[in-house]
Amino acid sequence: MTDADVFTNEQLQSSEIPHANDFTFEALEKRYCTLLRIIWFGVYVLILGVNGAIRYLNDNAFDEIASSGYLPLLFAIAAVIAVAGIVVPYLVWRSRGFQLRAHDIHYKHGALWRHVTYLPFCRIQHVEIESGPLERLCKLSTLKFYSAGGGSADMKIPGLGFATAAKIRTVVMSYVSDSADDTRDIQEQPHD
Amino acid sequence: MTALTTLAIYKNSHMIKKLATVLSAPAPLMDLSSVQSDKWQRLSPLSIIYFVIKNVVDTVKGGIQTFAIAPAAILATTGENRWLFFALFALGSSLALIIGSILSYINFKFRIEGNKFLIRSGVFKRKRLTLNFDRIQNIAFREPIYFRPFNLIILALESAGSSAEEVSLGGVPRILGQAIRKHVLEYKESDQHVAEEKINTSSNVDPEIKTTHAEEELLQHPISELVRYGISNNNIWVFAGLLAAFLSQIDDWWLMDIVVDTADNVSAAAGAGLLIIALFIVASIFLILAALMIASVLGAVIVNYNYRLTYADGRFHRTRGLLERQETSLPEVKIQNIIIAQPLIAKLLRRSHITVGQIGFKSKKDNNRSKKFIIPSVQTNFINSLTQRLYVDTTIHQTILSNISKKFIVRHTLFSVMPIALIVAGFWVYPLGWLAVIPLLAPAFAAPLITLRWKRYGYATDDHVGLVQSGFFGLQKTIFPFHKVQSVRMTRTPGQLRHGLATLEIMLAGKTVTIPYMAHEDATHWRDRILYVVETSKEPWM
Repeated sequence: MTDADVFTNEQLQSSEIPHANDFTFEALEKRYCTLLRIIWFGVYVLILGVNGAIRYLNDNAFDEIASSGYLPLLFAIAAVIAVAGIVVPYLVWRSRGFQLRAHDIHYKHGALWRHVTYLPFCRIQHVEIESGPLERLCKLSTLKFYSAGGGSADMKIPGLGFATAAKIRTVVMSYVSDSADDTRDIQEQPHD
Repeated sequence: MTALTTLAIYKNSHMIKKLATVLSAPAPLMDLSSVQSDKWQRLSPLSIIYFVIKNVVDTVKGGIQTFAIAPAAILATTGENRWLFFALFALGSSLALIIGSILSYINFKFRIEGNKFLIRSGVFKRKRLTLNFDRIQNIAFREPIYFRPFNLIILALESAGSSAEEVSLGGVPRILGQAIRKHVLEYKESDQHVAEEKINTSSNVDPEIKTTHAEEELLQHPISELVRYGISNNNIWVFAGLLAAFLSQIDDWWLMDIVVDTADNVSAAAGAGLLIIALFIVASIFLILAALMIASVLGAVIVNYNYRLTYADGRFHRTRGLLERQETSLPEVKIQNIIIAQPLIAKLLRRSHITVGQIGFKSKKDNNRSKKFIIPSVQTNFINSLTQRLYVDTTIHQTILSNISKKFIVRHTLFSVMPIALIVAGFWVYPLGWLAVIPLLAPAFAAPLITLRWKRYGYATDDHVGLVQSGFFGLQKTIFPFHKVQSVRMTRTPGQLRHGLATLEIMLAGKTVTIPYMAHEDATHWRDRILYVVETSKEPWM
């Protein structure tokens, strides 16, 4: 082991270590909630449509259901799904959010199981802004950060406005290029 | 549509030609002005072929089953005209493929801005990618057969990012590719020189000292130690799995007949005495286990014969092998973590097996990656000296392990095993009646095993190095320095929120370490400490 490699072991009071506060998350765009609702009802209508088409092709299927007495139950289920389509996307939207600090970015998600991912800027390999057709319709984009931790360590922040996504990317990329100069000091060790 | 694309192709081929002529002029290599300008550059129109192949490969990789559903459904549902429908489907999908690939080509644009690669791509999903030169590990050229006549290449920019997201420019003129590679490498090198000068002036490292150190022997294994490894590693279960898979394939084979005949003979001779049959089965199992163990020992000896581990100039060197002598070298800085495994038998033999964790990103051509760097059959003093070597001053082995919460047992018994038991019971009610209660006993049997698992979990840190222990019958300890962590994730279920607990996942390059049901206070301490070390440490992580 070379001298430069010696593990630094500086004394530090625990109170000096910055604490990651989980209460200052920024909400995603309200439009993202709308997007989630569109997806929910899109899938709902698609299933209903396919189902209806199959039943329509099987003649008398509608009459059978009507006469079977299950009709009220079916309507009740449909109503529950429709109401859930309003409520669930709201809960999902509310549960997601991000916060930027000077050196890292945090993303929370999960309405029931609450996950928070913490990604230091200096571990970001590359950044990507993605925008699908529906997202473009709602003027939204997804910001993706890739790290070397493999698939599970990558961070994906959906529901950002185009300008916000671009701004965050600029902040992160400028940090990445700045810190690259620092880290290279040690990156190129003589024995490598 | 087609006229438009033809025009686009024409315009672009013209542009590429112009670019190529510019680049092939005297001193062409360094002229990257076109790529570095504000104008977005396109690939060669021939890249449409590349996109066609890429799209097909991606679809197949994405699950050939789902892809095959559509034609299968057509064949199944449509009547007499099925082949017409099928042909229409085939035609439609190939048309979609070609149009999609043309659009991919049209939407793929790239340029270089300062020290960054900017790429725009995607038809439905628009992607804008930013890749810093610093993050590029390697620039590879690939030359598929259909590009060869046109002197085009696929330029693959390999970063340490997740392997799924490999950045490739398919259809770049070779000279342009070379110019880009040279540019990027020169950028990296120039920075490196500056950095090296900085190091030399700042820390006054004598160049003489850092060049050659004498080789230091760390470990040399006699055959007896390899035999121990063969007996105690878990490979015999791998062999057992292989054997089971093999036997399940040959139910009408002569070997099976012999087994059945022998069983018949034994039961006939013993007058079908239950005890004798049971003894016969136990003896057979022992015989099979012994055979597997011998196979495992032979394997261990052949692979690791004359195992020798040395250290010199910041690198570990390993030589081993009977039939094929293998020599592997591993730079110390590349080590991400060490995993100390102690299966049940190894525990009895007082030995552990160390796996040295390296960066886990895959490269398609790099087949060596799968060869794990294992240090077999070592004792506690070796483990201590290795961790001291890797993490100077660490007190991790003296730290007392903290336990995870007992709620772990409750949760897994009630919410993992119980629902499955209920479902199985539900299915059994109809055919079996009251016997369906049997699966409901499963949690009672599972609970002791889950308790065992709970007992094995433990974690400790000295604020620089983390140790996480897990296991079932055996033990597995993962030791990693905080400065090599990639990211952290904390999860809290409603139950964990109530009881002040959290599950912490620590992502390393190539491995995720999970501590379930730890005290929330500890989890936040680990998280804050890890982020602090990662963000302030000047230590390289790769």
